[in-house]
Amino acid sequence: MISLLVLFPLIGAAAVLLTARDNPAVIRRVAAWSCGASLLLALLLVFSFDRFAGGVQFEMRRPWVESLGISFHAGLDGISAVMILLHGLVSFSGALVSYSIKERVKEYFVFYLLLVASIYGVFISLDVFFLYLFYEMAVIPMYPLIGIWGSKNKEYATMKLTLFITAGAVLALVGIIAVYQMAGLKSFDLIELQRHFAVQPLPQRFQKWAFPFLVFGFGVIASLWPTHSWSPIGYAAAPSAVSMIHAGVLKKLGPYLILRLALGFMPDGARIWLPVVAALAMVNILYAGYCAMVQKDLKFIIGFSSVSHMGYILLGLACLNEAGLTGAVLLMFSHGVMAASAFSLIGFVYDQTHTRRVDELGGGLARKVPFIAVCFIMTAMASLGLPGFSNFISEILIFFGSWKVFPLFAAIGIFGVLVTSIYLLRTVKQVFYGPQTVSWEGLKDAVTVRARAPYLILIGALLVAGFFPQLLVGRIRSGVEPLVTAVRWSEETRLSSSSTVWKVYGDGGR
Amino acid sequence: MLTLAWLVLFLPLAAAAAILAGTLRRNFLSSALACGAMTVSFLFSCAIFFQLAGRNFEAAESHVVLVSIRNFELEFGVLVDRLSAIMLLIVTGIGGGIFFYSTEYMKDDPGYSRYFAGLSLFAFSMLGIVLSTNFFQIFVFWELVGVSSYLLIGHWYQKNEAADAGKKAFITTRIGDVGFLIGILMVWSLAGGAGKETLNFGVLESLMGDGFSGGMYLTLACLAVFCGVLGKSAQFPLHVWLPDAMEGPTPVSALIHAATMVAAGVYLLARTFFLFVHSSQALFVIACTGCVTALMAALMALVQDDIKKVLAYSTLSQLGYMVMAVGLGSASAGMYHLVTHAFFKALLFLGAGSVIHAIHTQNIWEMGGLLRRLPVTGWTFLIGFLALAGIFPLSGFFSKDEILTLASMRHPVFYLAGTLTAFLTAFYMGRLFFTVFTAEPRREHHPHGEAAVIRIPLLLLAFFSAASGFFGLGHWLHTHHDAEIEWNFWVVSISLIVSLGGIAASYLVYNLRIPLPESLGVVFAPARKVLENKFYLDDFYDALVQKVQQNFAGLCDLFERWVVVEWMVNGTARVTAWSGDMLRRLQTGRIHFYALVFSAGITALVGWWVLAR
Amino acid sequence: MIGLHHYLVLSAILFAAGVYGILSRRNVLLILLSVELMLNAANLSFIAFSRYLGDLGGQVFVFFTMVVAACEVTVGLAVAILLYRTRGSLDTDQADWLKG
Repeated sequence: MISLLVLFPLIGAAAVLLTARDNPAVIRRVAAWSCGASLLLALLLVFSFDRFAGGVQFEMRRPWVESLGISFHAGLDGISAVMILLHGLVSFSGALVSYSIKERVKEYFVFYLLLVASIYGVFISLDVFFLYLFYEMAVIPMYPLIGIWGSKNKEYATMKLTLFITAGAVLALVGIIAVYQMAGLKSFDLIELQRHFAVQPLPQRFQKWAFPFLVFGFGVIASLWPTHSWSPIGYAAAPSAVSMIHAGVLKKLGPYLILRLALGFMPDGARIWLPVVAALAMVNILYAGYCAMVQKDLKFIIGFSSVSHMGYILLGLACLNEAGLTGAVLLMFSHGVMAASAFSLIGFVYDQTHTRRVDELGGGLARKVPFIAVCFIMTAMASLGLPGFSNFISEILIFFGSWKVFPLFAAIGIFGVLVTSIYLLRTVKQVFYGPQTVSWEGLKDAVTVRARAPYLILIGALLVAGFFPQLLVGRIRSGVEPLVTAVRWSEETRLSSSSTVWKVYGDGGR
Repeated sequence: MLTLAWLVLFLPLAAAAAILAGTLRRNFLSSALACGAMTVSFLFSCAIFFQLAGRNFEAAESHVVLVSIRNFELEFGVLVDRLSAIMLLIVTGIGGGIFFYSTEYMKDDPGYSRYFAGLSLFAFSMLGIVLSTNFFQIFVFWELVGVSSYLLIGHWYQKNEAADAGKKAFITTRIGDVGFLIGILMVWSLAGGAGKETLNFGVLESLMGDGFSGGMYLTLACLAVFCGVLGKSAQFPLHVWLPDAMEGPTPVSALIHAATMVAAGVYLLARTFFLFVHSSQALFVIACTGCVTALMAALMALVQDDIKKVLAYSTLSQLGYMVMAVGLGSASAGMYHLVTHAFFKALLFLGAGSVIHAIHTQNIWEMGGLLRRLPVTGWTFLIGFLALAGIFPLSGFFSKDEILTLASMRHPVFYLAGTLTAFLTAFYMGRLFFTVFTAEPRREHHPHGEAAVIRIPLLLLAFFSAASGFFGLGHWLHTHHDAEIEWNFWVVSISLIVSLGGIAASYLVYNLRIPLPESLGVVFAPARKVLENKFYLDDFYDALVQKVQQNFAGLCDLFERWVVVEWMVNGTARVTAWSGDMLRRLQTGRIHFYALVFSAGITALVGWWVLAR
Repeated sequence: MIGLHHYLVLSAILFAAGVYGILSRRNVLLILLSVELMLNAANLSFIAFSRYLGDLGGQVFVFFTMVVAACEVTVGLAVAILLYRTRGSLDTDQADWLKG
């Protein structure tokens, strides 16, 4: 059943291919329905996931290349359950937002559905080979989607984005193959490998050099400083739905894979290297926050803001304790939904005004497009960590988690929230408040249910998760706990004094 | 009782949600929902109060676990005890009055429903703070209060000033919240050191019993928590948002100044006083902050021309008193003044709102002689004025003198500053009252009358401003953490004399318009300039934002553009392109050349393979 | 007695002749011819080894090679014709469109 998540969008893509080119209405509907089907299935899976049992559920396995130990092994644990929910929400809203695409509708939706399917693939795969395969597959449709349907500077942006992500992937591939060889199991199966490493961990010396390959390789897609520069310009150039998927979901693949592969395989390496990652994450938070402060293009502002928020996720990962990791995964969800909402709203305004520049929009739009303004303000509030939205809970968890380990970083992170509120409130004020200086005759608010649905779905999700955090936290926790146990075990048995290069970890607390 | 408390908390939220979801276009329904929810909340609060009284004011709480991860829990609940019961009454009672008042004041506003949704959200946030059982929850509502004030101050968002003021209020208080959250984390660590990682007030209080000593860490933690108070209760140096917040509708100002928001800071101090008593250094800093704020704000109030700004600065100054009282060791004295102040400040603001509503100006020099035309407003304003000035037997007299007595027991500097502030308070309030209500008008007005929904809240508030001194609240709020305050005849009489002196002086200058010697104006000109510029603090902050922050941001952006993108990224691209360009020359396009290189390579490989063996 | 060595030497000579042909000739047809020569040299050694080891696998490969060679000639001649049509000569030095 779980592979249906991938199949629905693929079937949708095939159906779109078979539909006549001159019938865009049908094409759009097919695309929306197939994403919607996956979303419903994702909801069903997430809520039937037994959070008390934990572990991997809904497993399925089909052998593929047995000589190399590759099989199509799919399943969900607490972390990936939350991630498919995120992807379901964002991809469905993205499909609805894509109704505004007018050129080459058919090709657009084929690529879009391929992208959606491969990201589902990443989240459900429990085989490292397929994990990597789907990951690379996701990059391929991204290239034409930005290159053809993008705006301003799209060629440069798409090239840069694709190259960066591929480079990161290659770096990570080195690490993956090294782990595969080192394990000597002749198996790419994630669960088998992890079970093996629990009994017989990889040598510390190996972990010390192999870990950075994985963490910095996947760090590129998590826009870890200084490999973040593809992200703001990439989002700025991409069409709305692609920005949504990219900032919302694809970027979260970075931390997700770090959690899955790097942390899952090499707890020793994690203890050695994650303080470095945490320090870089601080640069992410502050540097990108200040960069966002002087941007004029709305998408650049949100782009830098997403780079800044990835810093919190990475900080949470680096804590290596339950609170931090849970917070990081919850923030992956919350920030994903929030970023998708922000990009879709900007896209809404851009489609009609053809400018995203704060100074050209001229302010006072709240009177003109009240619904969009309210949604944007709520999104901004979510982003700056207002209680009631799940972003707040995740950030709080990250702060509590990191306070024990990196008190200074936690304090900087808290200051970063202030920076976020400064630039977001300023943006809200400049675009939506104040007197209107440009009349924007053609600008119409979203009135139909179809036009409002994406925003309502996304913001509603944030609110539900914010008011009832335990819904997601319970599931995430069941996925995070085995990782923390492995780390703690590694710490207790292998804390030979010379091995930690960065002796910043204080006393316990984990 | 606890069920009632949950209902009290969530009714206003439900009203806000219902307004947003359904009645945005039905003004009457919106206001009915908001006022109805508030009224029911008030009735429930009364019920809670009496039930609690029946149980001899024994604290009770219930909570749900919001987030639970192995040995880490975030709780959300309601705590009912003396402190929260009295605050519930204040918030729902005074708040409810302001809600009803607003139905008239905002009658023709296009954002009427939105306004009531905002008010309900504000009430919900404040009730959340009051009922909090733990630091996490109080922080949640702390932030919600911030955002509600942002929405309400910026209610007339199409005015640049209003939009900016809302933003300023939110961001300034958030600066304090950075410290507050760090403080919470520090308290959490402290609690962990004392035995249990918890944020629950009750558990913390029992952990940090009499013999508890946290050393420097505790002091730092207290000061960090106090940062939150600096923001919300608008203490120096984060007070700058409060005067600007006058851009909001007047009932909102009343709500912010009396029942919600600024009261939150003092309430937090009282709620967590068990922490602060362990650190005399922290208390000293708090007392100094309160003292400076009280004096400074009173001075600035002297030169304001806007009726609401005078009141705003007076709030600042009174908050200074409360914070100083807490700093001097008696949270109950601070809370006492908070309660009485809530009555008379709400009264004054609603009175000012009534004046503005009637004659559509806020400049006091354009008013005059309004006592005859707006009798209810005028006379109730007089009661509020005398209560604020601390004239016997009105409520302000009792609460303020408790603080002054306390100050006299500690250090003469605090006492002198407090007494001077009392004089200034009487003087600037006299200036306001006489100019607006009794002096000869400089311009003729034709105010329309006072509606009943405006008159009734004024009368009720006037009653409580006058009478609440006799309820013995100060004694009733007293806990074993608070310092004992000895009644001191001299302090009381001196302060009374000083206040009367201030009123008399203002009467001479502003009602009788006694000509003052020219030289006086010249002597005070520089001082006046400093005060009119708010001690240049706003300019300083502006410079900080414009110069330091923007330039730093610009620097980051330049770094991003030139170093990261241009050098590192495009540089890599250029190196790749260049090396491709170099290697291109190898590609001659001639098959023979390729074949030659190919076979030479094969030969070399085979040769190497053969020879190596 | 003609043994394995003789076949191998002959095969090597044929192969070298083919390589020389490719390197020295400019005419496409002659180059194609030389390629054929090299393929057949390989075939020869396949067969020789097949006989020597008593393994039919080598002969199977020869058939493969012959099929490939046939295809290659077909494509190669087609290319040669196109080349002649566009450039008017069969000289490979003229065909340097792919010069970097």
